Amino acid sequence: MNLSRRQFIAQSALAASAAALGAPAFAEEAKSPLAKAEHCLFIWLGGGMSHLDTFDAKTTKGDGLKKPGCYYDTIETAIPGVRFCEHLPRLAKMAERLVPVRSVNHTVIDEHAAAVNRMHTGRPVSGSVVYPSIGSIVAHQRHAVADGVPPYVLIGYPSATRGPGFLGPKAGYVYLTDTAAGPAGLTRMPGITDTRQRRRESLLASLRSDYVSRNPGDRIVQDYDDAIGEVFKLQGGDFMKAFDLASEADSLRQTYGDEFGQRCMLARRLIQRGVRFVEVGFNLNFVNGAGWDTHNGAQKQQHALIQRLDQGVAALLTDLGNQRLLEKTVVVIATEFGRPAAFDAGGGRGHYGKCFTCVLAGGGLRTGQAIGTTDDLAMNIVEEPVAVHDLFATIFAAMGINPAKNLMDGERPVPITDKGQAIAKLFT
Amino acid sequence: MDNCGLYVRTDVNFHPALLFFLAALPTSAAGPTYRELLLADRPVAYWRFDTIEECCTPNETHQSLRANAGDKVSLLEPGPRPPEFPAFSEENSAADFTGYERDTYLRVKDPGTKSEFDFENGDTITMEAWVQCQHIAEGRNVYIVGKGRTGSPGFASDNQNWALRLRGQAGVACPSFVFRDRENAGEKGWHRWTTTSGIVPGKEWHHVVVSYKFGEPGSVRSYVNGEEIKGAWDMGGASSAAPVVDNDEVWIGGSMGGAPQAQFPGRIDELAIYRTALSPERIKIHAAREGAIPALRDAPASRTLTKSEALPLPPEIIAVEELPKGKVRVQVFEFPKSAQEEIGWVSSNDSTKKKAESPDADETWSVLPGNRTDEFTEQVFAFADITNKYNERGVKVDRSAPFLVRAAGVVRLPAGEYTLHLRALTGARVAFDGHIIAETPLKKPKGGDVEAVPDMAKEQLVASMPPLPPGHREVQGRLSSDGQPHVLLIECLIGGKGIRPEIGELFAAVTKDGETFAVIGPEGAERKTPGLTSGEWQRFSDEQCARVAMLNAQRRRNPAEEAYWKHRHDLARQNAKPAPAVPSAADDASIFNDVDRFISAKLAKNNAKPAPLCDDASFLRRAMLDITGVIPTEQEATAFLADNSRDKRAKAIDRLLASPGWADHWTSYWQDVLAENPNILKGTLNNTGPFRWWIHEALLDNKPMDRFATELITMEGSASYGGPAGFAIASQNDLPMAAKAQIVSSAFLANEMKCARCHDAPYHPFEQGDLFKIAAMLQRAPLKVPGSSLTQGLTRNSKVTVTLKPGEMIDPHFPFATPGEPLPGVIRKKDDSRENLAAILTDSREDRFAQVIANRVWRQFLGFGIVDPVDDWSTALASHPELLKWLAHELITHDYDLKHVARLILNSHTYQRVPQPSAMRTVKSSERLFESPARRRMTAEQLVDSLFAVTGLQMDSEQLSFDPEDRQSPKDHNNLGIPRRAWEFTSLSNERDRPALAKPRAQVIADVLAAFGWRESRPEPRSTRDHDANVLQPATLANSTISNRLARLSDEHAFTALAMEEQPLAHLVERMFLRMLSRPPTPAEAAKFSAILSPGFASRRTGAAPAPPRPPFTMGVSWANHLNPDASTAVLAVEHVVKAGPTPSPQLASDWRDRMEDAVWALMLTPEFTHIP
Repeated sequence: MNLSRRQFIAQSALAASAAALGAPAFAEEAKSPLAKAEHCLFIWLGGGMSHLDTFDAKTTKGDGLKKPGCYYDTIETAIPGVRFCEHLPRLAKMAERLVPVRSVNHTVIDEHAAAVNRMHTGRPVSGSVVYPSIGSIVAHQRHAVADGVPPYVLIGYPSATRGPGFLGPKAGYVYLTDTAAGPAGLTRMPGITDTRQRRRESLLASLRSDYVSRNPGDRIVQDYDDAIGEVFKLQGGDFMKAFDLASEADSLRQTYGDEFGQRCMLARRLIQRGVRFVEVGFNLNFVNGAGWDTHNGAQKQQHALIQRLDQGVAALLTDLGNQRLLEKTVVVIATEFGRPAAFDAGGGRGHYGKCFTCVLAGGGLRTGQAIGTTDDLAMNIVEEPVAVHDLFATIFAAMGINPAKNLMDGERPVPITDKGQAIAKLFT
Repeated sequence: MDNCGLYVRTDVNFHPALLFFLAALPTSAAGPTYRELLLADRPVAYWRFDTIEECCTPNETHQSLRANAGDKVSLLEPGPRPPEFPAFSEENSAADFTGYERDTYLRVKDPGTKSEFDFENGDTITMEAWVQCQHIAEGRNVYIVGKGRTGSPGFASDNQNWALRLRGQAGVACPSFVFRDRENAGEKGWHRWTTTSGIVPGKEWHHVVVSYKFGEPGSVRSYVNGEEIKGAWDMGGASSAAPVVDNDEVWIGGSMGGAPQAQFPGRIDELAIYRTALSPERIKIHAAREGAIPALRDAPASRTLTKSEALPLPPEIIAVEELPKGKVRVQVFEFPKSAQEEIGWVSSNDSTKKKAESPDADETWSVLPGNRTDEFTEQVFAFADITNKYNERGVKVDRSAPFLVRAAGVVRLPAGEYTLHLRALTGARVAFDGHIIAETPLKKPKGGDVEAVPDMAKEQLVASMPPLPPGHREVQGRLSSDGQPHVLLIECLIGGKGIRPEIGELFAAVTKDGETFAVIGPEGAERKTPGLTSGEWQRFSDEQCARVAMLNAQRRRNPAEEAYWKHRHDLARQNAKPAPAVPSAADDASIFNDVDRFISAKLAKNNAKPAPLCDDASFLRRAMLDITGVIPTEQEATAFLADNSRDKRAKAIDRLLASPGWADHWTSYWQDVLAENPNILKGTLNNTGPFRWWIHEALLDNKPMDRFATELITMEGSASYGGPAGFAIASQNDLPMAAKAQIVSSAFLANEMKCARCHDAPYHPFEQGDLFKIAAMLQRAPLKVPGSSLTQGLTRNSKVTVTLKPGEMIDPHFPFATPGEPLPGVIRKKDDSRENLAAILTDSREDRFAQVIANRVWRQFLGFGIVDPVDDWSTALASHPELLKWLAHELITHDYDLKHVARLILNSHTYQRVPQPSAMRTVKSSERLFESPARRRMTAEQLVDSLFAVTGLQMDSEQLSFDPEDRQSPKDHNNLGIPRRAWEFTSLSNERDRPALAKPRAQVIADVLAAFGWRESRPEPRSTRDHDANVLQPATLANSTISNRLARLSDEHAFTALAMEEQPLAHLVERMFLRMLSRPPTPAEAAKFSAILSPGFASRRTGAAPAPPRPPFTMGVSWANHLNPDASTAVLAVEHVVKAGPTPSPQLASDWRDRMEDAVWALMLTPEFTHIP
């Protein structure tokens, strides 16, 4: 690999300081190349995935004790010179569909919530603005692809960090915490048969129409009544069929693997029905207790997580490809920070934000290349640092959203990213 | 004064009348009195403790003994008396330093240089006293008398000129002499000589003497009860070095600034100091007594003990007569702040290092807090809540950590053997007449995260008791009763280093048969002791919380503070601008009060008509939602509709304004406006302390609004547990006070200065410096502009300018015009810029503050402000400027009573009209006519509270904490308790995506709240919420886990009970409507609902028993084990149960019940339910 430093890097220092405040009243600038992806599928590895043990694997092997290094053997990938760990065989083979961005970096390391916030909003916390999450920005900018479908679905735990911030509830998410149940609010409750649902709606219909007719011209009442109508439309419509995973062929479901894989498959079914942005949380803590937050003993079972990631994402990319969705779907594997090469006293790893990996795929990006190189232990960026706002700018640009565009927080303009610049060479 | 000790305050001269109480000097026919004996030996100081001031010495200069400020030493307790001590009078009294009281020492001013208290090498000192030492902890040195080491300003902390102490060794109190030399620093400068035998602690009086000639280490002698005993230099070695000499005070009974571990645990009498060595013969005479001399006991010298070896102090012995009849006396004891800092287990003179690190003390029974700071009575030996502590302003403050709760009462158990059961969250012990029966282990804070997940059901000793909450421990002991009254005592240490001050569940119960336990109650108790079932415990705990809330309210009340505010309000009235004239309007049906006259005048000018008044049902529902935040009950609706009196609306308004619901409803408003933003896990994103509790209390007390603002701005009290100091916190914010300045400005001045945080506000008349000046006032110091506060990288055509430079210092200064010098008596701390800021804002000569507050209330009731936006008036114009001024004048002249303004608005016809579409048009605020109120959707909190109220269901949320065990660092973990009202919710903070950190029971409620515009985190202030409809709102009501619970007729559901009642169907339908919509059904609705419910109505009741209650969730998931995979499994199991919903009531036939549920669901879903009529 012979990558030269690119221009956007020079901007980073300036932008990073401006980032602290939510810069006001900048003229919009449109320097990022824009592409035409329709969807974004944001796979979130909560806890902080060890980049050194996965997508930035090094042949210097650590022993889990005193000697720092990669915890696993490494394997070659379809990208020359790029090695993954041995537990990512499927993704290694299909690496031509991936862009490991190995030089993502920020300064938040000791606090998960703050780092999760950074990696969802693309900026540091500000004292005076609640920034929207990437999902909410996409929902706000591009709405749902189809009618009767929410623009933003979260498969995971709800939190303010994933919320709409100053964009308001309309840019919020619909969430579910497991694939077997549909999203909170749209899945009919157990025991509510068709007969009962009809009875309910019929009783409600007369109450609604009486009330609306008693308050003619009342926009507030009317809007709420319309929203009730929307519920039933959503509930009975195509959208809810997305959650009927059993309708997929067993063989395909098996390719995806267990709960995380099923979430990925559900995400594919959701975008097929017109959802714009899906966040898939990979938070299966039962595997090793700590999920990706592999301090101490949690390190020992980390491979089980990596294997599930390999299986689920490989199946997803293949499936999206087969369904001709991959080109119009940006897939992102993101996490709050990486982990250092050295081990803690319990044989696990601490937090490390100075350099870590996120992975992009699909979305019409020029995949099959790695961005950023790191040193022998993946502790320092050697080339091409990618600031968080640049990563975000890349995702926005891939979806045709100008990363410099201003959103309005009341009367106050706030750019979508703090002068983030898309990684130019991922765009044709 | 006649039944207890004298309480003496520093620097307060005794009133001559007090002398009346002084005991007469004793005389003795049999021989010389003790006084005469002693004076014959020419002491340089001799304190008899029969009277307060008396010091029988030739020197008049140090005659007065003074107790330390605010604390007590009892000087009228019995001392040695005949017949055992024939030289004493029958009335002889002693100084009592009993217990663990801190600061119970007596001070003697030093006469100055070269006084009789100054000793050089070659001088001899003899110290003599009668002592009754009740107990002594291992390795502890308690002071009989000493000079220096008082902690007084201007003196080194280790300036021990000389001292006589008792030292605890092997359970024995050994006389010990100590001084500090003037040559050596550190440890080497201390010289301690301790006897190798000593007195056995108890009620016996002992005569103790030590003498020493400075410079001659071999000269030291000690005598106990007239016999010489051996000793050794056991610290610092023998030394011929001269002692420290200075003018520090002589203290009796204590030292070290009053630290409890130096306190003398008993009584001292007849203390004398000589500058000669008393002869053994004279000492024998002084020590004379009738009868056997108490035996001494050997006490090998012990090394300094570590804290784990230190012996616990025994429980307090209390006499039956001391205790109130039929009650449990509850006392709270604290360490004063300085004592906490001094508790170190290293030898006490180098505790300074520890100070900075640990202001809180470990929980231990060997050092107990001794300052009694609260006392009240309880009904039984069971606690689910305890009073708060408040300062003189009435805001919550923290107690010392730890503090001690001591509950004592007289119990009389029928004769026999019992098992006593103690449950506690923290270290607690139960004693029966001073003997410990059962004791739970002290808490050890720990920061783990992969511990085993305890099944509390297995930890619980008695299965039939209420579920054992996580972190609680249970122990049992045997108790034998002779059928007579005895004193039962529970002591419990709460909080401590790294432990939040939580009482948890604390109770002592007994059983005779080994099966049925009952909480112990005092003899003659009014309340039956609660049986130990979940239901009874819940009822008891609710009852107790209500009682504690009343006690808290009493503790907040302070007549001096109220007098101060009355003074301010008198000034405010006198100095208020004159009220604007009320427009004359025809007294027609459209006018009820002056509010309506202002509105009517503008309507007339615009040729517009007011809307008609709403009907009674609508009025009641609207007023209840606006005042108490919940919809009316069926009884309230029925009674109101049936009432024919003309003034029933006004009466209802008064009744509702007096209800505590006012505080519940308005708390959430101020949480938004003041950006109250606590986090239950690791502060991020502008998190504050939970000052919600202060807001709620301020509203409960109906604190005047100027006082409310002042308390907020002065930010006193508890930062982490609910005082306004919590407002001062802004985690991860490099300039917290700038954020607070912004909030204060928008909340009270309607100056939106958000932009000025980083640059001059382009659309507002503020410069950056304006905000920073206010911020500096809040900082109470000049403020340095940080680099992050300035906008950089501005484009050329930017509208934004930056006037401040990084590093620039901004002085505290109010940036806008002030009404002039503060009115007299307003400012209490002259140089406090916070107080000055508050005084300027609330000064009645300028009514901006009052206008802003009045406008806020108006906006909440009418849907639009007289000025909009309510928090940013820089460009907006008022629709009725004169009305606003008039309302402000009303507020100012009625003691800033918010309820007064609320009452004016609520009573006006303007408020009571039918909402009109015309009133909801988007127009400039100056053009608004208020022909009617605007339509409003319920707030999230009104909706959720109303849903739970109407269904009669408990919220059933988890405790809002990840550390129910109370073991993790309070810095990282808050506990906001189990919410009862919607405002008590907070962000559930699972950014970590950990299943074990999910709170499925709280989440389903938080989801509804969030969908309807509640903010789970409030990093910035907001005065109005986004009320646009969105699909998630009806969706969560229609289909969520919580709607499933609300619409399912379980045995607990109020509509199940309603349906079980014997009544005609038509009546049932009518009552359903009354409960849900506060009105009877229309004929068409009645017909439709009756048709649905009619089939099977007659046979709806199955006669079956209610379903067995759901088994409690017993897995003790907490932060300490949340990374254990079992914790995830346990929480998912809870989620599973919660999703399945409650068991439908088997009392109702399932087919009919389904239809009834569908009817309830429809009534809950109709827009009429969610919109304010």
